[in-house]
Amino acid sequence: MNFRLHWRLICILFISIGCMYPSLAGAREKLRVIAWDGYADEEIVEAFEKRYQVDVDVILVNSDDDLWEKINRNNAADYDVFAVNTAELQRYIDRGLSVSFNLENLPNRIHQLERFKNLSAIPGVMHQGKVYAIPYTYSDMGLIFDRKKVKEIPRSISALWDPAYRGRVLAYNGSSHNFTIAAMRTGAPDPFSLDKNGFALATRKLIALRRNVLTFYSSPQEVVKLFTENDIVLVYANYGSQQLKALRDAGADVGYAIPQEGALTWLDCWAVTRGSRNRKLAEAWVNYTLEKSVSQRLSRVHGLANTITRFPDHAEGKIIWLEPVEDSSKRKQLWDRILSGDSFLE
Amino acid sequence: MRLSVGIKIGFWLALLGTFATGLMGFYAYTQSREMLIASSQDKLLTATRVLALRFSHSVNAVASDVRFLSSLSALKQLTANRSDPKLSAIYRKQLEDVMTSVLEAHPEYFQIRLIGAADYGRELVRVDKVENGVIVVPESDLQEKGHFPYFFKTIKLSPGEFYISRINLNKEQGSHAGQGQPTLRIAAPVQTADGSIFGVVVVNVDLNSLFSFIRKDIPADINVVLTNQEGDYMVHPVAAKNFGFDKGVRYRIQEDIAELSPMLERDNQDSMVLNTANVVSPASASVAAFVKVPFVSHAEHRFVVIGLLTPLQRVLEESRALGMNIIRITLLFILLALGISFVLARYLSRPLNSMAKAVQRFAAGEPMTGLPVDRNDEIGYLANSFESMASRLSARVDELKSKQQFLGNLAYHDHLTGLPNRLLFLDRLKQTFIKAQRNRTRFAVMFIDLDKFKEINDTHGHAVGDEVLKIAALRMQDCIRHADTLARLAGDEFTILLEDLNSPADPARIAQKIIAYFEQPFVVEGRELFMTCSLGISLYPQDGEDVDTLLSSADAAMYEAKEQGRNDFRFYSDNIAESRQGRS
Repeated sequence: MNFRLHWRLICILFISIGCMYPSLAGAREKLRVIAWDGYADEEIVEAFEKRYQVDVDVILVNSDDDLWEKINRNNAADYDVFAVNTAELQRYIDRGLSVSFNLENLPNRIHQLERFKNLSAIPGVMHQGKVYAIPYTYSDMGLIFDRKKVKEIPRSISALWDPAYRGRVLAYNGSSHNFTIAAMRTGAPDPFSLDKNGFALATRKLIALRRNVLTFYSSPQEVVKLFTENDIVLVYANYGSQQLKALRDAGADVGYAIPQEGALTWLDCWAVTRGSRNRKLAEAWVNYTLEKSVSQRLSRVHGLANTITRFPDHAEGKIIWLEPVEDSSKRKQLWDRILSGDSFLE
Repeated sequence: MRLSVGIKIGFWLALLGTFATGLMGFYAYTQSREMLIASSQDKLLTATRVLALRFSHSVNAVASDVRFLSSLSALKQLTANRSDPKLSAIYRKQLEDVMTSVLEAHPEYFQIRLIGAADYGRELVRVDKVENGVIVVPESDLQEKGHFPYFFKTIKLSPGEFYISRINLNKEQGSHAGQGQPTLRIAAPVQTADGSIFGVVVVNVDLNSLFSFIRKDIPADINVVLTNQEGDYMVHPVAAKNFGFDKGVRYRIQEDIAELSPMLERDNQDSMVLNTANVVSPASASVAAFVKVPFVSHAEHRFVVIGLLTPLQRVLEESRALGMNIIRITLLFILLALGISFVLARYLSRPLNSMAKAVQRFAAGEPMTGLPVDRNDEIGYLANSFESMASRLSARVDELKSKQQFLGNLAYHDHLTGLPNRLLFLDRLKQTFIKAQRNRTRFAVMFIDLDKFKEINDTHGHAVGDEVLKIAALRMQDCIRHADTLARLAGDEFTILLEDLNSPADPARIAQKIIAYFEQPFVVEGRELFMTCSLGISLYPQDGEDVDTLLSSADAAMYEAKEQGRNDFRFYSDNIAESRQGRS
């Protein structure tokens, strides 16, 4: 046995590994995903990383305002792909922060239900003939109520303002939807497009809401904690079915109602940023999430609807698809003041 | 190559010494390294506990301030006279003054407020830290805080209890210096004299300034981290990781150090010390200690975790210094071991060497001297044995030598006269012949025969004849030079070898001298006897080209002398040769 030869071989092996290591470590690409809780959980991220030999950074957002602020901060250069609802998407397209998809890179769309496959029929996903968004999940935002504590199943959005529930209501900490539901409450003709008077009325309504809630929450987990620690009767379900599942999993005896005014309904889609460093990889990610196993995990684990299989409707009622709002930043500024406790005493 | 015993012994001793001290050094190093790490872990844990204690003391100090503020008499007056606007204004002013001075006295406070329970938690008094001082917020800017936990949790507490908030970024608008900053809020309820709820007093504490005060004497290379009970970083050397949960990205310590999960999840563990990757640069190892700081809050059970991470490098630097010392000491001892081995080797090998030399000298025939016989050990014993062996050996050798000499004499000498016999004479003659041949010198051979010696034997007996022979030998010996050889060939025949002749006259003179000496009477047993001799001389090179010829020539010359009347001598000559040939 020639030990010398073996020794030499081992040396060569080690040296070549040493030479390859930095290039291997340095070559691994990174995909930066910004999304909502449950959209890209660890399990599906790990599987993607393994399959494509890349690193995936997932940044979670809690509100549309947060998402807008983050994507805007560096002209969309900090992220590759993001999850946004069709209404919000419009301002991203207008600002040029989002780019269109090459549908050839999304073969898994074939699995989607007919109503999500036919993109031209969905308002907001197309712009000048190009596809900017791929539907991923959706939910209506109704009212969650404690079956035991509620006097009656809430029929109207006005239940949130019911003085009988003062200090026992949880509302969502987000500017856009809050103004929309406040406008709906005031009977505004178009709650997505408020004029000056509409803003004044809605602001006053939101102050009233603030005075009636216990507090405003941001994440579904926070609701579970607040719900179990405090005497809560009513929750505005910003996260819809996901939140309902989380509460039920925690043992709360809760029901879900769609108010007669209608429930705002969001359709969250994947979109690619202008600053994406590798659009192919971003599209590969979107395509990957449309795989049956990945999409179904959304429903199975997180209680979110998916676009592959029909989600059992949990409540009947009118739904109102979210629309772009007239002035997001104005809503945000006003909301921040409302949340801080301003009384707008001019 | 021949290695001396000394070198071998020295080598092995040195090797053993080096190995033993090296092993000792290594053992000492590893042991003390482990001890150092353990002790640095202890030290670090202690330091972390001190920090934790400071932190909870600081929080308690804030809580006492809050309690003090909530029990101010101005506040009591305000609650009692809230329906009277005039008095209310007076007491509010007093309250504002106290709050302002408290805020001014505490650089770590952002804000002090009195929030009323009425009007949805509307603030009644608020003093804010601004860039260069403290301001009293005008009434028009006061806000409703009823929907914040620090209000709705505190309002439910009894007097004397207090609330400690989660630490997060203050996103409330209009909070001046504190806006957007990491903030801890401590609040206490305020009741009216009749026990109904009046409101809460809240102090907003700047976590960074509180913490920089706490960590002020921690060396710069020790990393300090602070997390909340979910493990989210609140103080981390990389500022971007702080309060990730308030910015949409969670950076949690259990993702960096998985071993911490049980401590965060369980109530029964309040500290942990471990060797782990550094949270700042995961490539470098560090020694880390973590301690839970529980908040004695009446509303919620909460804790934070303080951690100190010191680079393992730093700990090992101490052990490196120690290691260097150990190496130095080890080297010193190795040198010492080498020295001792050298001395020991010399001490052992010198007597052995001197014995070896003595034996060598003895072997060369010299007497055995210089043995270390005075030593009182195995070597001395060996030397003594050698010496007695050598003396016995030399005694035997002397005996052998004298015997050999005796036998030699016997072989080469005539036992009667002690003169060289025929054998020795012929040998010397051959030697002389060879030398003369080479050196072109001359020599002579003399043949001597006693005249009518037989008659003496017959007349006086053999004993007298022997005596005469002895005297004749002595007389002839007296007539020749020391270098010349006189030999008895047989009976009354003698020969003389005369070397290095100067002239042919020399042998003639010696012959005459001998003849003359023989004229004196031979006294044997009181009787005077007379004896003559006849001599024949042959000369080299003229009388013979070889030894036998020279002898026979001398013999022939001697017969010539006898025939011519005895008591005379003759040189060999051509006539003699002819007469001899004629005779034969």
